[in-house]
Amino acid sequence: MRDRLKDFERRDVQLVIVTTDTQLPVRGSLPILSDPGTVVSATYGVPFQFGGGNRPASFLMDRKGVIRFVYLAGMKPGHVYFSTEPRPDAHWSYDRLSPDELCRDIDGLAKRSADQEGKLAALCKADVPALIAALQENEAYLRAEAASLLAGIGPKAEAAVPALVAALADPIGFVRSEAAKALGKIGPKARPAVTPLVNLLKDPDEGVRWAAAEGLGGIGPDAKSAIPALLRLAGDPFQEVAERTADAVGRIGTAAVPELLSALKGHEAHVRLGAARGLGMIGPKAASAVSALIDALEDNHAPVRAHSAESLGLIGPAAASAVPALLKSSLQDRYGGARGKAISALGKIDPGAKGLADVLVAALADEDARARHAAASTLGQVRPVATEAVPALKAALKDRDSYIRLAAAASLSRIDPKSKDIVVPVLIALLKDLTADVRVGAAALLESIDPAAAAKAGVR
Amino acid sequence: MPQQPFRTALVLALLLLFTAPARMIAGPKKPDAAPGEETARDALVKFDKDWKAYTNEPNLGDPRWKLKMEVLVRLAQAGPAAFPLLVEAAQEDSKWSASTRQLAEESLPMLRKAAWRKALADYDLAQMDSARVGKLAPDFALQDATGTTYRLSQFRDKKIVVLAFVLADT
Repeated sequence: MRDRLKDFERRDVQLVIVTTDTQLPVRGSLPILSDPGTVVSATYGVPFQFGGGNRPASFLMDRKGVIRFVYLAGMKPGHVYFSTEPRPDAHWSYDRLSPDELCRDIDGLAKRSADQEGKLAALCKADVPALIAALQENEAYLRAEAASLLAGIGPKAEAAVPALVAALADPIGFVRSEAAKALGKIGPKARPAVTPLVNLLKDPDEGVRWAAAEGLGGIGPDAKSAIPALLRLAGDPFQEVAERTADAVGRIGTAAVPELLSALKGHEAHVRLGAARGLGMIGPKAASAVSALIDALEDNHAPVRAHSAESLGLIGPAAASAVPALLKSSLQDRYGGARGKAISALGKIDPGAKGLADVLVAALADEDARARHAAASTLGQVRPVATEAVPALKAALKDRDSYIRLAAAASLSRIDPKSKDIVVPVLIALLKDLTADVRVGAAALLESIDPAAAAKAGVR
Repeated sequence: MPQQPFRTALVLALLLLFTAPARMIAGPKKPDAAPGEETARDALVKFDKDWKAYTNEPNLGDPRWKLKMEVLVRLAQAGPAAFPLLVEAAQEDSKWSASTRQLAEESLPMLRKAAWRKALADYDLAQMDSARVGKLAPDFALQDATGTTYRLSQFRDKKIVVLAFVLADT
């Protein structure tokens, strides 16, 4: 990036840096500006207050001062850069394009679009050989569009595999990522792409890493050799990339299980985490991993414990032997997130488990909202019906967190239809909640238990 | 992330340092202080009520920053009269929820910087999250380390602008 500054200066591109830092560095003529109160960041929708929501972001303005591209780190997996041109999810990166290309692209945006649309329309009608030829186009958006159209054709575009593998080395990031995704859509027949895709997991562009993981998942069991590299990526700083690796491992399927079992005992926490999540994504077919996941409930890294519990839940009834350990984790894990995941898992594995209702009632008083929410949601599924939980659920209708009140209302109305009188006012109040999900959930529940009250409250 | 404990310690140290002066500021100005404190209290009550804990692991698309920003602006508008309330709310045994306690603790050092307080108090919340692709970029005037003011509009009709927001500490 720094090497690029001089290049930018020589062109007509002005780089402006805004930061919340009060001690600003001075770098020649580059404006590094302080944003007291983070108000400019707020106007641009960049959440820079405190920790948690911080995301680096870039905006690109044309000469008229109109915003042409926005990049918010980690916002949209695989399509982290987006713009009005030429497609809403165009993937673009200013620090990987030469200033020449940048100037040409930005200045040409307005007049180019008509021409572009003609070419893109022609491309949409092209057959596989024509699309393969289009992968050699001079303009990156056409190469990317060709790859994306090949992805749409899927397994029948098998003939494009060698050309798409070549496109994995494209100098432009979004062409590499479209090619990787297309290979995944072609599926098992794209097997020759496994090694180049594994290499792409180290790409400097997070969108490309995401797409490479996606591509490997699409190839399926034949991508088994990619497991170690995928697990290393489970520690990627971009959460979407890390999550995509678990999904990819899940799609590689049972062939991955032996490798995952050994990774679950590995030294690096993120590798163990990736293995635990991957086993869950494989689902019921990973039943042979149950005892290893039970052991991982004692891992010293809290997220590994939480995801091991979640994965046991995803394996489902076949994980019945994990019930005692999960009951213990539900109440005793030191990390609230892990307690919550253990509780949810129990509901999925065996809603009739002995002692489950007692544990859930106790968890309704947990200090952590995630555990309380899991307990309130799961209680409605317990079999036989957990009538003994009614008083605790009634108390949970007054929880300080609205999504817990909603979960308690749902479970209570399932356990005790007579509770309608106290559930309905709670739901009516939740219709005005600040969280859209809660409002929608409350409306749906109200409509199902008391259509008259729902109509009166204005629920469509 | 490894700096977190250090930062927390720093914030706590600052809190201890500033507790007394804050009371002195709020003390003599009773007539002015009352409405300010009321504004601050309303803002904290709103945050306490509206803030939602995570239901799952932290995600990157967290929209709750707007609530934080809104409350920060209201606290800044309340002025120094908000400090005693915030100091009290930040205490371990305060009656506020844990997230409000944290907000109070984090916002104090920001609000104590006069420049930050002014920028926040003058901020029009309708501007929040108003930048959109295809629309004119919202203008601003910010200073660099030498005190030179830059406006986004000064580059209009001259240059393509790449505006990068980066985290402090990087």
